Amino acid sequence: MWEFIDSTPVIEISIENPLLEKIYPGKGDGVMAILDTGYSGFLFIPKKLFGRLRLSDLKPTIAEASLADGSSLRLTGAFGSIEFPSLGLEIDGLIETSEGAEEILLGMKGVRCLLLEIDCCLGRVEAQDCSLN
Amino acid sequence: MAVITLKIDDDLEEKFRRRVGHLKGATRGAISESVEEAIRLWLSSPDLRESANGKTNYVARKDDRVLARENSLDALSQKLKELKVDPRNVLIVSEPPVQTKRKMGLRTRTRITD
Repeated sequence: MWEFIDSTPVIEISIENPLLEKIYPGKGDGVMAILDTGYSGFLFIPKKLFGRLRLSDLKPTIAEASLADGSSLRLTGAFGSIEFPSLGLEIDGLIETSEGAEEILLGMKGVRCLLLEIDCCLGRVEAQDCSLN
Repeated sequence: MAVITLKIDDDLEEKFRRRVGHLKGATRGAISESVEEAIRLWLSSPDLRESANGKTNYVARKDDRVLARENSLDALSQKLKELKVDPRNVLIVSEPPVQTKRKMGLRTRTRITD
């Protein structure tokens, strides 16, 4: 269970590049990612973190995002993993970044194995692993 | 009851123990019970490597040649190590492929077109 931060639902994750054995923030630690139900991808992270995980060392996959205001954004991606430390769950997917990215956004593909309950009255998120259901 | 002695990857063991602790607590026999459940599940599942069943495979390609195909990035990483292939020199793709169009909100800064 995670409390909202600045009225925003967040989920604790760690991010890994299994191909080059890099993990953020560290083994057994977690960072709060914003649950972004408007993002149809997996995980969006700041460019600096993309480099720190050495995802920028892998051959990139390029995608294009349509933003809510009708504009578009070029995304650079590389395959990596998200771990939900409190659930003991790890999933793989395309981790993306772009110029100016400042937040860690967990998209709908990133929560595809979770049964989520967002309690806006109490300001908290609860998650269960539903991957085996 | 049969007794099996196993050698498994340290990280896998840690994840497994953490998951068992989360689901069953530190009860006596929890590990054995969970291993038994995992084996039953594995035996009753279709081959998870088959992407036709809706599962994803990760493929390492070089010069249009497939060097490795695995059902997780951990497994692919292991395979590339065995093949002594540097992951930076291959193209990693998924099967089925990831769509190249996304929807996003406005929590980003720079846009290429306005």
